[in-house]
Amino acid sequence: MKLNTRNFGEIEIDENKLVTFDETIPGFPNSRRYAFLFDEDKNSPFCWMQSVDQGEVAFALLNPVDVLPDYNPKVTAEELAILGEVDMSEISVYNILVVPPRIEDITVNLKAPIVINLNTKKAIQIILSDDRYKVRHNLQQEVRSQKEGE
Amino acid sequence: MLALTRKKGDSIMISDNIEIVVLEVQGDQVKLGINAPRSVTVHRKEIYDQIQQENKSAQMISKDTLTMLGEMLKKNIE
Repeated sequence: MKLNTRNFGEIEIDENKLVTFDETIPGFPNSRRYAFLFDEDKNSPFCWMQSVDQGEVAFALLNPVDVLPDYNPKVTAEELAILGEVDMSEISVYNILVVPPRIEDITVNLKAPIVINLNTKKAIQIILSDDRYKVRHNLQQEVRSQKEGE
Repeated sequence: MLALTRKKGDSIMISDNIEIVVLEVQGDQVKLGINAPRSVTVHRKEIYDQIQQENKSAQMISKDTLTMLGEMLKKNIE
């Protein structure tokens, strides 16, 4: 299907690859279905989660696996139950990026990751109770400190 | 807003499957217990509001910004 977007103009998306938020992302009650748009560079830790229901809504996401190796969000069984039948190997976690006027000040939300069940294609934004994780972590500082900790 | 007065140990039912129990009252603090189906998520309002605000701020990012960011991050990792 064709989709008009704020960031990418008109794009073609595969309806079979959409993820659905049964419980919508806080602040976006009218967007349930999203398409993932990946960079041509397969090694990029970034991707986009573009709303299918509202073309102007898109989130830039970080895949923390490589750049924040210490990030270890504990997701409860209750939270996972919302995603349907769960096999842990089918779970993907992403973090939302926020860019203030100075790009160096970019922050990553480690408190409320997007968790996706690749099998059922259901997703949810969970809010971790872990106090180590905040809504705004400076991404560059975080990447450097986790690298030094290796 | 509906306002109900409850004592310690009392509870209220929301619909037929959500129970909120007053567990403890101490000065201006109230401890609540919530019995709800697994599909119902419960959050402290101030944290929920903060996440909502941050999600809205996330909309300001543009495609070019993310490309620049990729370059910046590479320098940090290499």
